[in-house]
Amino acid sequence: MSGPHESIALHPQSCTSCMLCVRECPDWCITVEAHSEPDPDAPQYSNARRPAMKNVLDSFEIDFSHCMWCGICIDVCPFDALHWSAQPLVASTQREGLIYPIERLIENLPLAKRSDGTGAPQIDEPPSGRRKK
Amino acid sequence: MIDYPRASRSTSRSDATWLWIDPQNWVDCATWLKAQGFIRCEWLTASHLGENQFQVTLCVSDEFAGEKVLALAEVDGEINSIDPVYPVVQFHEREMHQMLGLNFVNSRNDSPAFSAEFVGYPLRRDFALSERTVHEWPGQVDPEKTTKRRPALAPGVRQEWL
Repeated sequence: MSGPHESIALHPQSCTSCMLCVRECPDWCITVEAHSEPDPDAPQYSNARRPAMKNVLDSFEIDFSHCMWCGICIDVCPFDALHWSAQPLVASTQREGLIYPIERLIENLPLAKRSDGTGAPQIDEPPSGRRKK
Repeated sequence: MIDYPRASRSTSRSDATWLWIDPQNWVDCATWLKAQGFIRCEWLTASHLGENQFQVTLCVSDEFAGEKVLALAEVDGEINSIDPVYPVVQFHEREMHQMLGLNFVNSRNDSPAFSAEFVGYPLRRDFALSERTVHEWPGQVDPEKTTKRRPALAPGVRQEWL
């Protein structure tokens, strides 16, 4: 871990909806909705029995009213989609205000850092982790 | 590094000196630490080890919170109160009494720390968390419905609760 970590940022293009962060979260504060659909960019093989599929992220929410900043979700993400961010978490008088959907998690990206201290990929940049496309 | 003479083990770590002591020396150790200049009680807590065993941890620091000492003792259900030495621990002792069922002998106040409605001791390892059994685990969602994943048990939920 390096630098301040006031909140968590999501780089949605890197997320494969593998659900690892959701399942490892001890506080159950991450909710992911996704669906699987045929991947048009996958190589076509003549002997393929079924079309290659890919997961498409529909929604990704972090409930910061439950989060305890353990960072397990960031550590387990194999595709570098989650990062610590120095973007301060804005207080809210409503519980719903602490549930961050994708749109708000993206706003944390400009101040997000990888574990090695370098900047996290921005919203207009392609995935930098192991996700190929 | 500060070293309590009756400590069964001690080690110096980056942020604090850790002292493992016997439960019968608990009050004596707290008194000794305060006499050594560790006048600030940072916190007092306990964790359940199973059955009726607990590990009680006291953290104290010097006047400027520069040097810290952690005193740890494994106890069997009860331990002497150090309220007379560090009065600030009274709330922590009440909290542990209510949440863990740990008894503090000679405590001046053992009334519940919180006005909460629950039966049992929620911070014990064998306490069934009703919140975890009535709510659906978000990790149950499987985007790839065609794959056969190994059924995963939600973290914090024991098989016997289901």
